[in-house]
Amino acid sequence: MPPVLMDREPWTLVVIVVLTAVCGVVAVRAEQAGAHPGGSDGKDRFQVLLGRVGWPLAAALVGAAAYAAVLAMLMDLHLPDSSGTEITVAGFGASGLLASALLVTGLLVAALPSPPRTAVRWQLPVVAVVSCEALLVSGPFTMPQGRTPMDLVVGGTSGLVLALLAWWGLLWLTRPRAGGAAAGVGVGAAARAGAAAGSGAVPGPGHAFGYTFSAGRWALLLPGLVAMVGDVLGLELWVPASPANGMLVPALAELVVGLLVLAWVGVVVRRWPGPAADFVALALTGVGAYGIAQGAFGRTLVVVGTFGSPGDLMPVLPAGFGHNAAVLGGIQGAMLLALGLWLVPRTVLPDVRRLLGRAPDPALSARVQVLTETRAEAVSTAAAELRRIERDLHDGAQGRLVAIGMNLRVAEGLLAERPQEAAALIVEARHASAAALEELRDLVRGIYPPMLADRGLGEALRALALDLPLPCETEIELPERLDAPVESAVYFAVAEVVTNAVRHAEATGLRIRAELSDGLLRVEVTDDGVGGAAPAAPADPTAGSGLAGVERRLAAFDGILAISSPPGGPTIVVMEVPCP
Amino acid sequence: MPIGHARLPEGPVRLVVAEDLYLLREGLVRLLKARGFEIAAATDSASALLDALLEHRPDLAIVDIRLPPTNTDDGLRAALAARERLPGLPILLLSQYVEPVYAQELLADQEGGVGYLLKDRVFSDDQFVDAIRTVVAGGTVMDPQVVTKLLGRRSRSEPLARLSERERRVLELMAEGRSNSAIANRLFVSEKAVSKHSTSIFTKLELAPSDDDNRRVLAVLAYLMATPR
Repeated sequence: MPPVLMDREPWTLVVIVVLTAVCGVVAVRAEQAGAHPGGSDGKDRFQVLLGRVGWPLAAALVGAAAYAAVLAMLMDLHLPDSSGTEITVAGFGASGLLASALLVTGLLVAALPSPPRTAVRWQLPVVAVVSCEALLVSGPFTMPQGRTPMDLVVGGTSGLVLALLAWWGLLWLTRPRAGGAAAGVGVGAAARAGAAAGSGAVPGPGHAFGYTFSAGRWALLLPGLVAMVGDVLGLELWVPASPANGMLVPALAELVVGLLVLAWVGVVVRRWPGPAADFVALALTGVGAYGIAQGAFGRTLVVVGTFGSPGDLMPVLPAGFGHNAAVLGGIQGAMLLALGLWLVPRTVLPDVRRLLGRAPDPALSARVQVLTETRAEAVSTAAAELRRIERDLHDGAQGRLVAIGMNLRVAEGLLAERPQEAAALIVEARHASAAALEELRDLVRGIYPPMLADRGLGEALRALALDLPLPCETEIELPERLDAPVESAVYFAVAEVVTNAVRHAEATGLRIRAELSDGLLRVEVTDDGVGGAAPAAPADPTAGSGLAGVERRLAAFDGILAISSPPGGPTIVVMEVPCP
Repeated sequence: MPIGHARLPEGPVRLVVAEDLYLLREGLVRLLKARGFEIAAATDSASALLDALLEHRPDLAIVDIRLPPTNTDDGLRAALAARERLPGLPILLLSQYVEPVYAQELLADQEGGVGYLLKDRVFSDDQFVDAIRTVVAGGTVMDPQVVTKLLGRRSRSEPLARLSERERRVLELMAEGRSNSAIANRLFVSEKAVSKHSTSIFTKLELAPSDDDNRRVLAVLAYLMATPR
């Protein structure tokens, strides 16, 4: 047993820490790139933060812990109780403690209540793998001597039971709840990117398997991917090295190359998530199956250090090591195979179906779904408008015109004999016609304000501001006319928002800002009122017209609405509509 | 050159009418003829209006804001263009709706001789004819709805809040272009009381007092049109 084992320990720690950090960063970035709204209704910032950072980070920690645990296990296997090795309990404890700390942290975060719906699936294999690994580290396998095969069977079985329990527990924790995490209101830049990409209202990752991968899964897979790619290139990040044995320079070089590989893998994962996911799924399946086969023939594929190199057994083997290692390698292979098989139907199969033309592009399907929903809403809104107009005309102007006609008919008969009465009826008819005009004018204003037709959105918004009972500043830069439907939708959206502010916010002043830049119309309405405005609960899409109605109206144009309205104010409502 | 009250034409008042709806145009012409006005031309588009105004130089143009070719505010634009060429040309705008912005543009040159009325006002032809005469004479007539909107929007501003109920009413009628005696009749008070109220209004609004009815109206409107603080 060479003493180098002790000396390489700092390297392993560095690698574990770097790996963890990279996983976290990649996971968070991937999650943000997916424009995951995270239910950001401004109510609970902690939840938002958790949705954005917590879950991917948890995944990263758990993933890293899994591999750190494997490492600790490997070192444990190398602990011969007879060889007078220099490895001390403290030295071993360092990596063991790190692994345990990572593991506990990850599981703690994962066990917090109300996880976002999209984060559910990836947690299950994580917990399964991790709990098995944890058991391996602490359980009967790690004692090379004095264990019978029966001990191994008992340990393995209890590991599986533990994994199943964890799996079931997570399923229970994260089961969908009524009116749960429906996509809320998009926010600023993310929504802008989403709208520009033509997918403004597509829910976050996890909505469709395939190219929209959730970050958490990547956090889990990344270390495996790194190890696999590194091994293909003949690199081993966990190579023994120290100044003492003259391997420092090669080890440093390998570490640098390894980190470059890591970065390259990150880039690949970001740029080609679909093919990379397919590759990982297939590789896990293949390597897992290979590991099982190796275990069955008494050899080992012990994961990280000698990944994919079954012939590369540990340098000096204590008695009984080979057997344990083979069993361990088999179990490890089974884990990887299970993970790979779990991933294949979610990655490879949809891609194959897509390539064969038997399944639609997920982005396209998501777009179709959004269009279907917003079109249905637009049609029903338009129908409701028509019904309202019909009702108003019927009850108002139309009725008055009938009355006018009748009055005039009677007056006609009275004209010769009783001109006084006839005159009175004619006056009445004139008043009725004035009232009918008044009603028609209001109706027209509600359908399409004349100012909007005459002068466009900018002037119409200024006129709207002038009409308000509150002082209202305007900063409007709309040099050109926009499409009439967009102008109308945005005008009525702003009208609704300012009406809300006047009615409910107890505001003393308002400001409307509108600008068109880079093909994006952005309107911001700010009031200095009491705040606390919110769209209707997403659980009840039929509720209220209000802000929810505004949101629906804008959605027909791929527009979005974002509200910041903390209790005590001020309330800021931002509307964005792409105007290519 | 501002047109003063003194300038009332000797003979019949000559008008140019611009209204694209045939029935309404014919009705207007009939009504105006019946009241002794002379119709120099009746047109149905903005370009025809401009030509007619420059050719006939009438005593007053009665213009529908919404006219072809674009059916937006072409009437207003044509009328303003004509007024640039013929300064002080009296213009009476008719519209189905009132927009303070349009009133603002109409009043921008501060020369008077402008009016802005809802088409409904044509129904009560006495009021309509009074308005025509006021504008022809260089006065200013704003539809009560314009005035209400302007007052409503300014109601929170400090000086207006200082006005009494009666003074507000007088101010409204003043902005509609009514003379002191008309206001007195309307409110069933003496003319002296009205002039007392108006002095008080001018003081409270910090406007220079003036004997000239039209300048008085312009001052009030200028005050109301100013962007609210």
